Amino acid sequence: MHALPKGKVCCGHPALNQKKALAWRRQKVDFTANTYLSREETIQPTMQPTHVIAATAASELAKTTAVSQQMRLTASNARAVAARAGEQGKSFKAITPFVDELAAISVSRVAEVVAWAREFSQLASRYQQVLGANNAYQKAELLLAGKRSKQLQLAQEQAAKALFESKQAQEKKLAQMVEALEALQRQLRSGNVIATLSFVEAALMPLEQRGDLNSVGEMIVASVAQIRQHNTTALKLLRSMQGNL
Amino acid sequence: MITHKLSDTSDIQWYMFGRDPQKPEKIIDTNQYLMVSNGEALLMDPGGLELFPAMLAAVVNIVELTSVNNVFASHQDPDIISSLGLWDGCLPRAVLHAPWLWEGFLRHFGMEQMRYNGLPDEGETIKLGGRDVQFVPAHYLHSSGNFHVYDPASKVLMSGDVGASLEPGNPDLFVEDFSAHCQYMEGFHQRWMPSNRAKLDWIKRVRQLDVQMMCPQHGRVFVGEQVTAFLDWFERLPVGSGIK
Repeated sequence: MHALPKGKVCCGHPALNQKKALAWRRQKVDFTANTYLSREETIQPTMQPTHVIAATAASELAKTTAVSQQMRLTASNARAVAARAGEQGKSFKAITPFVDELAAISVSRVAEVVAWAREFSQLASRYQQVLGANNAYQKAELLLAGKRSKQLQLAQEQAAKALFESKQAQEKKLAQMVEALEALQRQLRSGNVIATLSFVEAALMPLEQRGDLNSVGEMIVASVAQIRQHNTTALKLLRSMQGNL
Repeated sequence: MITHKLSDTSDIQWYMFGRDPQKPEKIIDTNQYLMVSNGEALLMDPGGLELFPAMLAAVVNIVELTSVNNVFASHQDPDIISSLGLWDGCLPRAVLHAPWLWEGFLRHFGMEQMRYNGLPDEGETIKLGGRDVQFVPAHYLHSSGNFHVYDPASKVLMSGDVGASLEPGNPDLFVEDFSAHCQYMEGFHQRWMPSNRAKLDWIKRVRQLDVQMMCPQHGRVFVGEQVTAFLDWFERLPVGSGIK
């Protein structure tokens, strides 16, 4: 963490002394406490341009793709374990459709949100380009000092329209993603219930078969935790942009 | 942005834009050119993103943008054409004449409305306001796909990076003392120009043209006998100094 020079004000808060400023910065770090922010230089995400936050969120969500695929393997493994357990694994077998369902939902939802996040990231970058064009045309107009150019006016109108449409598209996509991620977070909660049921069933099995059932439960817990962690980070980043586009 | 009328015959005018006082310090100074032939305009190497507002204002002060239906990019460098996406927004009906080799690369600067005319390696002649304009091959000088523009009526050659000079301060627009000027061209040509063979090929081609004014993309413009003096000097100069 870089300490602020003595007497230096922090981001427009003159009353903050160095200690308070450090605490304030730490709070900002906690805001996105995860692996990608382990380098403390990458603080204050709310001050980053939108397209950078969007790209970071997209990258965070992309990490969940492999984990959701892993969940699918866990579901296959659960079916195999149930088959091997035979009559004794009847109760466990009843759980496997839920594991299948959780895996299927995770894979499809994650794929959908990852694609949206990429799309949103592109929209945000495009917005920056259009914004740049808008600014350039405005500067040119100032330099022309009142001299009219129909073509320039047309270009300005097009840029302004593109800017408005781009903003609307971003807002829509952002709301869509936040909603989908919130739904996924709720669905992931069932993962813990399924894992607990696996552990309960394992406890009822003969000792030599408990390991397999326990490992299914452990795999579910681990996958759900990883997806949830990345989703939570992405959600916080996305929510920070709502109302700030 | 300084605008200077270089040549004015009854139906063709050449303008040079450059020495922009608002230009950020670390950006290399560039010359942009506009040829207007009977009301039709060709904008040559329109410059980078940073220059765009000043360039647009300078162009609009000379012609209506509806007259600018032709844009030329000698090659793909950012100081030549990174403003393409912005010009595309205000010249939707224009054609971009540029080396065929660079189409897929130049489109990275953004080009949704303009049409790309990929210039063949051997060059091409187009009509502008009823007059011929030649796109003269200058490959490997310095870019692997590179062209210059020759107007046989005005005898003006827009020579891209050939003849460019890197001079401190705020140099004049025209070469006054050729010998004194060589020091500002030498390093640039030796390092940026990669091929002696390409250099000699270009010199041979240009010697066949009647050039009264040679307009590079950086530095000063050559007039009259200075053009021949430049060709002689360039012929003697070994290039490709990056290979030790």
